[in-house]
Amino acid sequence: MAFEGLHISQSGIAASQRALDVIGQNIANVGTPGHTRLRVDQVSAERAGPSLFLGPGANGTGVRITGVSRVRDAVLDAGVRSELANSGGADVLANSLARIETVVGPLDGSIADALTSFWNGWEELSLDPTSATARAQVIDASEQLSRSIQRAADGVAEIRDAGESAAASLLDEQQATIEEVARLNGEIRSQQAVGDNPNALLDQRDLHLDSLAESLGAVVHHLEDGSVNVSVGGYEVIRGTQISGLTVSGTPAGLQTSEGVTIVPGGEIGAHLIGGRAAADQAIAELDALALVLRDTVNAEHANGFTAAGVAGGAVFSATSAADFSVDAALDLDGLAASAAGEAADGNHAIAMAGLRDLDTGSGTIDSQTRALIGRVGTATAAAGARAEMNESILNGIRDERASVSGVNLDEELTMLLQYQRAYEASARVLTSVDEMLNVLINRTGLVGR
Amino acid sequence: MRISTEQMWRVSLADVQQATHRQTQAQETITSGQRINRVSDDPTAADRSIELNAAAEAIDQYKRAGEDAVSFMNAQDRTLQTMLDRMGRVEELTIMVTNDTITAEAREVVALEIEELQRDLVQLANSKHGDRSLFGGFQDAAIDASGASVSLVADTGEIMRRIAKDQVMQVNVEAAEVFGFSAGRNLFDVVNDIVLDARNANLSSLTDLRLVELEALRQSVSNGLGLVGTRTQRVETTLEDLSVEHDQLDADVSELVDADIVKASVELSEASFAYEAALAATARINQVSLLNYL
Repeated sequence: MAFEGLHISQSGIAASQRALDVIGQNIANVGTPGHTRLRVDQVSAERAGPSLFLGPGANGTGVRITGVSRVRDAVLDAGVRSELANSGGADVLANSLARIETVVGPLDGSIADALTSFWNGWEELSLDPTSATARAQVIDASEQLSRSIQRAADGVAEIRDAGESAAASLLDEQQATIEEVARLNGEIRSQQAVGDNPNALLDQRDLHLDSLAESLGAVVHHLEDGSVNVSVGGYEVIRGTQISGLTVSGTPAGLQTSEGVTIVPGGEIGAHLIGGRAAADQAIAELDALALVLRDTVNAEHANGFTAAGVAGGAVFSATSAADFSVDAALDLDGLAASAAGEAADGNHAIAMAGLRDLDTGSGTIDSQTRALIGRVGTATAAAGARAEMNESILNGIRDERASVSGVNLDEELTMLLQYQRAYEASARVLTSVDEMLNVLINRTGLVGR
Repeated sequence: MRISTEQMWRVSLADVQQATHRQTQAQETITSGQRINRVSDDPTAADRSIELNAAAEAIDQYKRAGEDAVSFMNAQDRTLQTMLDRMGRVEELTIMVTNDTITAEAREVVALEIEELQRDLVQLANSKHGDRSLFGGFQDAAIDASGASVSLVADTGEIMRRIAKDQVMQVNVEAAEVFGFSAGRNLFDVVNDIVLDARNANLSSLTDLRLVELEALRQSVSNGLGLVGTRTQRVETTLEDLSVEHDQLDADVSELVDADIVKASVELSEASFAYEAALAATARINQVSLLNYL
């Protein structure tokens, strides 16, 4: 037996102490974002060779701590990151579309309402073409209509620009994150090279990688030496400690690396730059098309009528796009061509003007084209909202799985606290027992008859 | 499944948030009274409601045009009625004059009365509804009686009203037709001639020509009156149809857009209950841990 028992007990006491430290660390960080629960890795210590005294079947020499490791699942990490990218992107797109919807298709005061007032204004003018009030009403309604089209186009353009500046400021933040990841890569690599476990650094890096995934749709490749490569849109922007700078590129839409490569990011920035911009561009294109059809249809029919003075009608609207859609500068009260015959009291052409509301301009009436435009934005918004919700619930699911593996559970820690506390006490008791036995051996042996 | 403490917190927080979200939605439905508050709430229904609202507003406008037409035609109707009365009186007086026994003084009195009636007829023919001449087409007056003979001022301008989506109709009758300018001699010339014939005791001309001409003119004024009556009826029928259609559209829009308040109230209480339950659960699950027993 010799003094080996003392040594075994001592290793048990030391292991329990170490385990309690780790439990303390876990409990202290229960609320720390990105903290991965730590476990003491311990093995029962084997004897180096057969025992001279004990012969075959000898016991081990106590417990040996091999390290402290993070409980983490790389597959779940990759899953969470890909869902962070999906969910972040879907969220941004849903928000952009919801904003576009509020400017293009509010249920009250939309272009559709303004159109109805415009047609009704002409209809009213037909009742009394000599009335200055009725004429002023048509002009007012025309201006109202112009403003509502302009406001929609301006609003959508603002949303698109806001999306781009949001992407730029997000990118600024992520640039710092990219630098941080590269720095951590270097430190982790050198610590691992000397056999250390840089758990806190790994936690920090994982947190940054999550953030990169959400903002840019970044994909992570783990390397043998402990560092990671991170690629965005198929291009490695972090290669160990090497990084590429990123700037927003206008055409083609995406990001430009400092090496001059254009890449298509995912995540929130991708949604701002690609999906959000495309949705805004489409809405503007449709508004432009509507504005031009309205201008052409109204102006063409207006030219068929005559003013009170017997002059053929001039332009009602002038526009090159929805953004500059306006009532023609030359149009005034007397310039409205309400008359079909050129007589002041004749309001028959005003009826024809109002009748344009039912005219098929090639792809339906102007009213139905407006509704289609509003409807498309609404449908896209509803779909994007549903997708964002779905992505969020997927993300929550997989996050839960990850938290289930890597998160700290206080009850569990406390249970283990008890377990190691008892182990410590028991080891101490073993030590006492061995000590007592040695006491007998040393102090009592050979004293018979003294 | 292993549950971490962080997960427990997060799940209960997410549940509280979801309950709040549902509660807010139910609240919005009730306070706005509308099921659809933005197009994306239900794109199909929203699209349809915009369409139906536009149709309802167009109908409001058609109704205004129809009511305007009815009021204009009622004015024509009253005026033509009065003119027929006056013409009847002219006829009576003419027949009176053709009696041989009547004295020259008496004929002069009759002639004066007919002249008075003629002034009435001219005024009636030129009467206006608002500032629009009833029989003048696009002109300000129907006839000009200031000279020796009466001349036609009215043009053939057709005053049109759109009283329904594809129903544009003329609401005025033409002076040339009604007052006999277009066929034979006109009303005012004939009445003038009656005055002359009466003064000159040209009794055979009164019997053989004037009374026949007057009868023909009475016919054309009556025809005009009939036309106005038929048109008025047509507009009134259309107006009734429009009212029915408008009510139907309102009902349809309401069905599409309006919230079912009973259902929304139930949903709100449900959501409030869920919210409270989520709060209570959150407070409770984190109240105790193993710590309480160590």
